[in-house]
Amino acid sequence: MGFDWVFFTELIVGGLMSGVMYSLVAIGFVLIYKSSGIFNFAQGTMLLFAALTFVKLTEGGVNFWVALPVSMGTMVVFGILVERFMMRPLANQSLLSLFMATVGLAILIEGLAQYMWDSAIHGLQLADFLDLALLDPVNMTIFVVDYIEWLDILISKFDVFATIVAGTMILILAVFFQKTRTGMSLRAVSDDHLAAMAVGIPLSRVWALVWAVTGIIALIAGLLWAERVSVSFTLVEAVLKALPVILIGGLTSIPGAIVGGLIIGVGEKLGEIYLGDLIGVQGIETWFSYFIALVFLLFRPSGLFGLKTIERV
Amino acid sequence: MAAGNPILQIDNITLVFGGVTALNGISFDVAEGEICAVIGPNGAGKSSMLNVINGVYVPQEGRVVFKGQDCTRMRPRQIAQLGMARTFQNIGLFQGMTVLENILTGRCMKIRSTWLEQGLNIGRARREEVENRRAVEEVIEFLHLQGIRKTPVGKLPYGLQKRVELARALVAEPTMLLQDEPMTGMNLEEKKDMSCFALEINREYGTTIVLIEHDMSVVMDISDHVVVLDYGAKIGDGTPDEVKNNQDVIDAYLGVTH
Ligand SMILES: Nc1ncnc2c1ncn2[C@@H]1O[C@H](COP(=O)(O)OP(=O)(O)O)[C@@H](O)[C@H]1O
Ligand SMILES: [Mg+2]
Repeated sequence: MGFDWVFFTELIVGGLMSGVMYSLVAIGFVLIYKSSGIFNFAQGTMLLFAALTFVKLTEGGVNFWVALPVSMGTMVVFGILVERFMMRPLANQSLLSLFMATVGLAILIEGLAQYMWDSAIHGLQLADFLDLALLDPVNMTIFVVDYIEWLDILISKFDVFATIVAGTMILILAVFFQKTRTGMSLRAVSDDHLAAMAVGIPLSRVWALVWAVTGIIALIAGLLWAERVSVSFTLVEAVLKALPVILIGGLTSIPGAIVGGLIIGVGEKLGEIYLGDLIGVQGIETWFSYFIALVFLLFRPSGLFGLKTIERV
Repeated sequence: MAAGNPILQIDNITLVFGGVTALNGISFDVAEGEICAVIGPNGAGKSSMLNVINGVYVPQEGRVVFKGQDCTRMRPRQIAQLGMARTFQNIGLFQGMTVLENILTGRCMKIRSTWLEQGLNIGRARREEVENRRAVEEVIEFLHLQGIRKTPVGKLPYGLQKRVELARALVAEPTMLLQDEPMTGMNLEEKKDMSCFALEINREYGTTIVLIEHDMSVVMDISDHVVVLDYGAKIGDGTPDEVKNNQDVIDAYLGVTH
């Protein structure tokens, strides 16, 4: 029996595409860690809150192209509020206090989401929205058929779309933080926030910006993810997928998050199929990504692009 | 003491950390254009004084007046905007960046362009970039950092890191420069370079300098004015000669080796 190359390619492509999604969620963590020095426990609930806001708006009859910017605006306001009422008062407190503050933030957002919206499960057919909004007028049928054939392999069209969106966002973020002065300010704040303040870097503005951008990432990631798991409190678990990515890529590196996401995405798919068969275990995908991360850390304890240990002095 | 109006007035500053009184009713003036040394044994409160001046700490009592403005409660960025730059005792460089990038961050207050202009490199962003590069190159030449522009600062020896930190402060074109132990841990040669730089900065640009230094010979050589702290209190204030002959100062320094 020959090796099924077509199937193998399908796995790799599928893995890379989920990997891009993992990267996007991981970058949310990296941005907060780089600028604020903390692991943001509230990332998952931010995802949920953002997606819920969007879903409730559209369920209330708001047009897709209105709901999207309004949800984005909500996350920007959220970022500004977090800076004003969490980061600024706690600026010189210990990292543990800051981390606990994000735990509190998570609880607050979850409560707020339940109060403002509700805890029911909402379906979100993003593909349908896009189908209507984007493609009907020109009578294209990109999203009508669920799968496309390419090199004899089947790929979900929504996955292709999600990959393009997530990939584009990652690209914009990477350019933004590498090439602009604002990006340089962010790196400065992450290296030494006292020195950054003394130099005159607008710490508050950098923090508000980063939290707002992270909120928008949460929105996009939440919407793309919700397509698979629906909008409910299980969406919070999307974040569990990003943790092994961070273990591999490190909390401080955007390239690390990208490569880490791809490694986990592909490794997970391959392990699920080939290793799962081999050792005869089902449901391997829930923990296999953590296994990959641990093996990886055995060989590279400081992570892929690990520059420094997870501690700020 | 060099003639000139006080550019900085420290008025009865008291700073307490929990049970520790780091500064206890400190007052002194720094005249425009002078080099003022703050000396004293370890733990005397020198770094705390500098941190109060540039807004890192807010004192429980007293006032800091810079260029006639009360800046006791201003944040470091606002004070930087008034024209104050500083270096840190434990090197406050951005370790993930190169020498050039570190120095460029010193120009951040001169930036008016938006991030959109920067991302696309158009309009004001382009003009600012040119102006920033010019300022950076001038400082690089002044402090002889030409060969290491692209080196990550973490890879540089200690003495050079201190010099890069000075460059980052200078590129902001400050009217007042605070230096926290710029020469500690340096060899004789490096110390000599550093004191020459301080003098040149002071003379060429008229920058007022407040520096903390342990090496008495350096202090006596370059400063116009010396303030002595001990256990959070001021025990001496005057010209180097006056301070050298002050009995309290001699006592405080007895048996203290640096
Ligand atoms: N952030 C702080 N928290 C608590 N105590 C501090 C802090 N900074 C300084 N101190 C205390 O204040 C006193 C003066 O310290 P410092 O200003 O660093 O002295 P110096 O620079 O003269 O060696 C010391 O007793 C020190 O332990
Ligand atoms: Mg000190």
